[in-house]
Amino acid sequence: MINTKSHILESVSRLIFLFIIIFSIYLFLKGHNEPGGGFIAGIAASIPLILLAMSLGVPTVQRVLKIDSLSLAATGLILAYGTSFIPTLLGYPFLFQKMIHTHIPILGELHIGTPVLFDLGVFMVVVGVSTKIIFSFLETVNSKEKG
Amino acid sequence: MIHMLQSLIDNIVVLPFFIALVTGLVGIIWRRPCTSRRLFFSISAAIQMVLAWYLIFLTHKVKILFLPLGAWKAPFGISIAIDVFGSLLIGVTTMLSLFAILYLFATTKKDKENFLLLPLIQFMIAGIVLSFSTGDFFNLFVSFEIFLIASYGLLTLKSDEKSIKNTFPYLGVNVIGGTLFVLGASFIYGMFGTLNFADISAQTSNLSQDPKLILIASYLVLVFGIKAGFFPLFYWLPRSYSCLPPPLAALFAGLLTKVGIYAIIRTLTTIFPLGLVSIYSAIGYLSIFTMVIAIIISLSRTNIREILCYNLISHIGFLMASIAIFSPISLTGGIFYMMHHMVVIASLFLISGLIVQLTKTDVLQNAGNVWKTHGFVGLLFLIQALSLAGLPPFSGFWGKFLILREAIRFDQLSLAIAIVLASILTLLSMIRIWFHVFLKKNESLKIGPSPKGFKRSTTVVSILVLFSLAMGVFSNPFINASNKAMTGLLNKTSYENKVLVYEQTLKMIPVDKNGHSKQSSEKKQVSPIHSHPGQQKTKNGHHKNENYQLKSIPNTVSKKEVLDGTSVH
Amino acid sequence: MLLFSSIIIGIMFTVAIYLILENRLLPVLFGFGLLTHAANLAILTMSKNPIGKVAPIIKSGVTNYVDPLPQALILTAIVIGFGVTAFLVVLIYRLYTASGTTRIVTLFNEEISTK
Repeated sequence: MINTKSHILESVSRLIFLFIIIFSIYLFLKGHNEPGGGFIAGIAASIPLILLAMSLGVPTVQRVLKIDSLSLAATGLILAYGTSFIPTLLGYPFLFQKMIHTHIPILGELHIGTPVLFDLGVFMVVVGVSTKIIFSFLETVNSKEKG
Repeated sequence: MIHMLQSLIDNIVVLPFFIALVTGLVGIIWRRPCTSRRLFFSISAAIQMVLAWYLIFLTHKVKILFLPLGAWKAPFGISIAIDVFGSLLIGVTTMLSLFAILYLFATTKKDKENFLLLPLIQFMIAGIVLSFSTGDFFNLFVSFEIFLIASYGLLTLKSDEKSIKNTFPYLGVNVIGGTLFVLGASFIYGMFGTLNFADISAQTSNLSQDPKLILIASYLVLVFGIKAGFFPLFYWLPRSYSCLPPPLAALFAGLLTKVGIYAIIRTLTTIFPLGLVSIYSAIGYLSIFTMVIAIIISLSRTNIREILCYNLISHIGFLMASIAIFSPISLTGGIFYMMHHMVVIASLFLISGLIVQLTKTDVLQNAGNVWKTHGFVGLLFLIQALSLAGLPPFSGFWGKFLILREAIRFDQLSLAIAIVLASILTLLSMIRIWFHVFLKKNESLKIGPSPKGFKRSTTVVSILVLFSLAMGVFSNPFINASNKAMTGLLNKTSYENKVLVYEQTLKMIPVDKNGHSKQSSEKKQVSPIHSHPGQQKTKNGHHKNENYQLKSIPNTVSKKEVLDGTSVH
Repeated sequence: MLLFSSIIIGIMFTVAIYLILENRLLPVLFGFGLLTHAANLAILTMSKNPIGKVAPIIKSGVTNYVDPLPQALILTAIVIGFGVTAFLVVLIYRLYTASGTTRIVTLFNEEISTK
């Protein structure tokens, strides 16, 4: 069912891969004060990966990704917890967030802060976990159909 | 440097939870099982234990340790508050996790170890510690789910058909329990406009006769009762626990059900007003059934671990009885009994693991001969069995004595009779194991030389048994600590003051470089969690507490509604 | 509005419980999913009547926002429910590959008889 190769699926998923990734980065950066953020961006970024895994097979995608999904999720969580732990060394409560607002000459206003790092962690967790779930499904289904 | 350390100590309440979680995460990345990985995990567990004991020391000095996460003041942000009760339980939890991990290392080979095993244990410990330290309902739900999901993982780690089948009832019951918990949280939010323990407590202080409050409180007791394994709701427990390997079964039995009891005690003391008499008496009836029926079932079982499981459920009934009497002394006894029971039931499960190592079976009929070849294991079992039954020099006695005395003092004779009966039947079921496993001569069973790792695992268990013995013989400091925990629980105003009027030891006002304080221009409005910064410049940027006057509408309105008795949702 | 959503929550709970009591594991799975969503809807209802209120994103000059806390809670509850559902799917699939059936009676009867 899934391992019978579909050329349409394959070329479409290659085509839209970049668009969805860019859109997810847009969602990621838009977050915090407006809808968006790490969670939604992570879901969006995992969709093209899952599509590729469906069309090209899980091993190919894992080879391209180079990092195991579960390790990615764990790294993301460590990143998120790390950013929430740093304030405890500086006299602030755990999970404290700091925003910086500067004016960059040509580009305009920049609002950035530690939540970005936290969100990056969440992003990695979501990508890791959702791809892990779907990949393990695909693998078991494929191996069952072969054997 | 000293500055950093001071700041870290101010944040100490998150550390046991945080270290457990990060250790688990590192364990997911660092997969190859080897000695240094095991060393890493055991050192981390030891650090957690030392920290938790330091927490006990701290809470004895300042009573309640409170931390507003992310510098958001109490009713709005997530608050972490550890009182003496919580810190005692965290201390026992981290100790049990350390011993279970050491036992695990002694009995399993390195290359047979699943790489997820240790991280999942750490996640479970993190969830349990968080639920002992959290200060609001939703965080309690989240921490429950953290340790439940970790426990699903541990139950199905073998991923064979039997363990999956045994996990199913556990999973189903806990999914339904979690859903009911969310529903309960939504009721509470609808009624009080807050989920913070201290805030609810402040709002409900004179509502002990309000039928809606009684309804919500009894609903929550039901929800936590599913986790604790109350009388009609315990059928899932023995089935899933008895298929676990001994160290995991020890952790599950020692910790998971106690979290439910902890939540019930927390709900009925800290959160809701004292004097909800109807709920206490309902818990009393349930406790009688739990104690007696579970112990009678245990007499009909032939599998050591199942017998222990039903004993566990029966002793949950003792804890419920201490809640049902609800006098200061009975609560002291209950808290002491809780600590005692966590240690004793965990070590009994570990001893059952030792027996299985020796006799290769955990069915009573096939076992035997152990006393002659391995008398020391018999001694360990004897101490813990008598302690479980509640004989005088051992730790079980003191808790039972206090609860029983209060039951008689308050004329709750049925409860007293049930306590005595269940204790005697506990002794009987322990004697059954003693006779079949240790004394009986079984010709067909040959106990060979001690299997590999047996000595080390026995050492681990005997340290735990020694601790439990110390709890019985030198019971004074433990009783005093439980007494202090009880006073902390019943002294609601000090909890409220500590949490709602936070004295700032940490910097609370987020101010950025340009002197913008993150202050919203719309006070007294429902504001999003992150207020938009820089809307209003302050001169010096040091307007203390300005930022936290974003009192949300539901909070103020529903408080008024509740006081008028008109709140209908 | 409150009445309407409470009726929907009631229906969802009824359907979920009916599905959970089914004999096959797949309806049970859907039942659990529906159960968590019913609870989530109950939390959402606690943010009171949303008609005429604005989504909780700060804009200047707007004051009547919807209460944002229930939405934050729901997000957490949904994620947890998602994780548990995924886990359940894997478990059911594993049981199905092992014994070739998802009928609860057949699955759990064997175990009782072998005991």
